[in-house]
Amino acid sequence: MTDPYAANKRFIAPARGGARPGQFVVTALLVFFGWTFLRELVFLPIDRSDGVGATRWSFFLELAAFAVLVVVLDRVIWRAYGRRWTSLLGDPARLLPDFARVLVGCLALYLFFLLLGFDGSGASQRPLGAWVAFLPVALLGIALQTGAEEVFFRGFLHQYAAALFKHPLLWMGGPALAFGLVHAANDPTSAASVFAYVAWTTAFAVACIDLTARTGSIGAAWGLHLAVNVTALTVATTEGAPMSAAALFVYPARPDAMAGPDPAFVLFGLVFELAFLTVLWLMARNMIAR
Amino acid sequence: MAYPGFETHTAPAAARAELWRTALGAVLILLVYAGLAVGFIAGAGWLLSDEVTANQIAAGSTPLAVVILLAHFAVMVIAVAVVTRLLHRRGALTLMGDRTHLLRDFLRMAGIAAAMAALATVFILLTQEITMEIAPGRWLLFLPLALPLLLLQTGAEELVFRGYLQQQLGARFGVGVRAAWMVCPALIFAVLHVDPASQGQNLWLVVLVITLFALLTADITARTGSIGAAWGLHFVNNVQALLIFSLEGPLSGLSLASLGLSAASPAALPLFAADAAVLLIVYGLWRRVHD
Repeated sequence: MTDPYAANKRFIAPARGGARPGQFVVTALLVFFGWTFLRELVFLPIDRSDGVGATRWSFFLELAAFAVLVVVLDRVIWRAYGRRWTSLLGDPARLLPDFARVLVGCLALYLFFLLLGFDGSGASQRPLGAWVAFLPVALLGIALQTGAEEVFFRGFLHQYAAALFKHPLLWMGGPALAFGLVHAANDPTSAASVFAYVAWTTAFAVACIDLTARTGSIGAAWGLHLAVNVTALTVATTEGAPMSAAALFVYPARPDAMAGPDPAFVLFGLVFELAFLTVLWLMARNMIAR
Repeated sequence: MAYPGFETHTAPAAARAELWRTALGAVLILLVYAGLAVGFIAGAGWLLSDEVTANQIAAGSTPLAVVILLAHFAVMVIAVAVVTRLLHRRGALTLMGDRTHLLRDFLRMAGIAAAMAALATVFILLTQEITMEIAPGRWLLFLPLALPLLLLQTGAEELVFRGYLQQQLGARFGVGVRAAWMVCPALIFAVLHVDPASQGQNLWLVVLVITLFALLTADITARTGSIGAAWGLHFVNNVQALLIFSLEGPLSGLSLASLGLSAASPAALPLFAADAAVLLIVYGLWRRVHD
């Protein structure tokens, strides 16, 4: 059987040269905290008291600010390794074709499944024209945000982790868990929902790393990531939830939202979410098959 | 050889028939189906909120509710088709097996089963108290919708059990291991039909009859090489149970007449025994015609 991850060797080759564990950890932390700090500076003059991403302008800014992550990353790896951010993208011949194919395949699957079973009971629909008008801007913002995350997590973090570690549990599991843990703060309603969120995002990161290691570029992972986030942000939201400006349907907030949902319900839901993630990943695998 | 159609039926599964793959596929089919089904029924309840509620649909208690409940099996077809395409890299039509004689096999079996069902109907009319449940005109109005949807519902179940599971396990274990391709899908089929709320103390007998049904349809499929005949038997069986006579309880909303019994009542026992007998007679007759 041929090595399914043959392309990964070419992908991580630029990171092999001077990869030292200590330097890698310091570089990664420097990028992460440098980005966190600069991000706060960007948002200093912006009033976020109405909630994060509640208006169209702040929604777009939240996402577009991820471009700063790439700038920080570019500066730091130039100093540390003498590399530019474009060298983190991988095989240029596969980058955009894989991105487009996986994006189209996964969005089609989402759309198909949404049309089959969308329950809008209780939800209010926002004006369709305004939603359509904002959609291109929203998509641009989501493309920037997911692209920047892919450059950092599947470009930088994965390249160096795979150059440093031999065992898949380390080079796949490590960066995937890191991706899951930085998402822990996104859903702070209850312990169960944080666990479900981290478990799902970790599994999602494993799928992205798998796609990157198979294709030798971050294109396929970016396509999957974009499809997932577009669906999460532009279809439905809950009253008062963060990043709600681009959604077409708004469900009323649950009165018991402060106490958080029933843990059993959350974990039950996680099983279905993971099954659907597996189907999305299979779709991506089919779209990148040559 | 007892199962001349076995090889042609399972051949499309041969390339990707690893046990882990089939197990993953079965779990994915179940979860994707269940997730989409909940969404489909809730979504239909939302779109048709003036006429039917999601609870009525789930119980199948009105004609429209039964129609929607039958239509939701499209979701099962989609679940098995998506998993077959993406995980096994083969088209959903290959789940039917060899399609050259599919229609002929379907019609032949449906004809035999319908003839027996007609005899059984006479028997029921002579021995049971029945009450008309729905005005015949209204019932007729729903028939053009209900019949194709029953074709969809029985077809969906055949695609999953005699198609997907039987082909995958058959390709992995071979014709000799009947425990794998015949018994295992039949037990899963029976377990998924367990409903203690409506079947009560008759549960084990009902499950036994359903297992017998699944074993016979698996046998028939392996003889003919496609799901056609099994689909025909399933279709006629469900037309009888959903559209003609029904027991009280779930899915009774579209039947012409009621037997006035629930699946849990002791008086239903002879009916289940008769059901099993009719199945075996249909199978015997079909074997005479087919062999």
